[in-house]
Amino acid sequence: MQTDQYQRVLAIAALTALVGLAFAPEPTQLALAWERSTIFGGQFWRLWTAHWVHFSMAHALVNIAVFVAACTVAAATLGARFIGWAIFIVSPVISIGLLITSPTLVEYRGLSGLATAMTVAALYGLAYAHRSLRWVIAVLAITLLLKLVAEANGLTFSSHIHSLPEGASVEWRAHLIGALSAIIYALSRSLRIMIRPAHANLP
Amino acid sequence: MDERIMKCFFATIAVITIMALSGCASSFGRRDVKQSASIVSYLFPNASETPKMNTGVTYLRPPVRVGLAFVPTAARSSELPEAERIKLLERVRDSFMRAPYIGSIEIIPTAYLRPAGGFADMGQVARMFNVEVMAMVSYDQVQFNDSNALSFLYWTIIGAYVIQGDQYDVRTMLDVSVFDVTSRTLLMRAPGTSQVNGSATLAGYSARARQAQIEGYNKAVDALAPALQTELDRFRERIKTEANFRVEAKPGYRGGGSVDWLSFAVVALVVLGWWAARRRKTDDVISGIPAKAQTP
Repeated sequence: MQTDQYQRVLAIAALTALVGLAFAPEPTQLALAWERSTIFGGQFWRLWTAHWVHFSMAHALVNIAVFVAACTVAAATLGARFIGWAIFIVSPVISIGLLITSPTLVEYRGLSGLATAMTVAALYGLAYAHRSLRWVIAVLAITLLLKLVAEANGLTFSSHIHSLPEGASVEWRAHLIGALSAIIYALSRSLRIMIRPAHANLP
Repeated sequence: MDERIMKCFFATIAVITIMALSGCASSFGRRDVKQSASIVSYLFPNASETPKMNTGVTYLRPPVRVGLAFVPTAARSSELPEAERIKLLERVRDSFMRAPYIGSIEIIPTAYLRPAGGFADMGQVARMFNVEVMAMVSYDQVQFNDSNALSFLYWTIIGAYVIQGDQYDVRTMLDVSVFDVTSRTLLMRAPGTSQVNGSATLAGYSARARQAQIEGYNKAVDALAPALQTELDRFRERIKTEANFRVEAKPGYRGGGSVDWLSFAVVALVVLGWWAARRRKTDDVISGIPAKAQTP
């Protein structure tokens, strides 16, 4: 199987798994969700799987739609391999970041932290691949940044597309850590290209 | 004649000594030792009053702040020392901490609780330590003391230091009862029991018996820990289905990654921009514009 076909198969399998988990029963979702005490108890897979489960169908489908859209643009501009590595590395970074920055958080689920990381990566990839769009992308990036800052200060620019269950609130730290991870990647890649222009085609 | 008198004298001394030592040995006969602290005596000191049934809803706000304490009793010298109690409570606390809905556990020294203080005293202590739920540890320990067949050798004096003629059997029961302070409802309980047997010499009996008592408490905590974990898991399932429990999580207890309309719009515009740029590039290629002249 050629690389492109292989990547396509992987992407379809991942999307199927994501959508399938949206329909999974609650005990399955609970077994994969981010839970502080169980992670410290040794169930480290939750550092990755927490981003793949959600509180409701609506929560899952909206997050998946945004994630897939951002991944499509990021894959087209930065390469498909980047998506795989980004998911593998950023997932535990967000999870560990929540362990450190949210001491009162007991349970977390949702893909939007990764989706934010992919959105920032897509913005960077688009700015790099299509320089004519740089000003538009800069405006979108500033908008996203202002939204993150407002969330961190308890303000909301716009309402959420769906509501979280009673007792659950939007975990803005996951969005911020995802965005920072993508920014660090973008800066390091730009630096690498400046030093070695031959690396421009590498993810 | 003198020799006979001397022999009689020494024989009399020997008989008196044996009888005296036997008397000493029998005077060391130990009574059984009992230590207990009852949660019912603490919460309902006035036994003539019928406790009222709580028919209301119990509100739980995870992550819950828990206070952990031994049930107080009237001061007695034979009771478990406070330092040992704190060590036992620390071990019980470790079992509680594994539950995800428990935020913090405060160990409350027995001195802060009044014997037979009732729910009023419990509420006062809960306010003092800023806890919402109180986990009270009650205990019942009985130490049976017996002598075995070798104890007759104590009369040799050396036997009192060498022969293990005394036996102890320490039976301990610990019970953790968890109460919601506001509604005064019993949320859950878990027991732990142990039995420690052994023997000791007459001279070293007190020290060995004390060690056995502490060992009895420690073994009871070992048995308590898994029972407590099972009850905590069961409680977590119960509160989902029982109508008299209402869970209102504190802010920041559960978090979800969620998308708002602004983020949705940003991503939609990113996709639109990418699609438009791709299409323009394709059009440029079709119309034959050289690659250098194409907008990158």
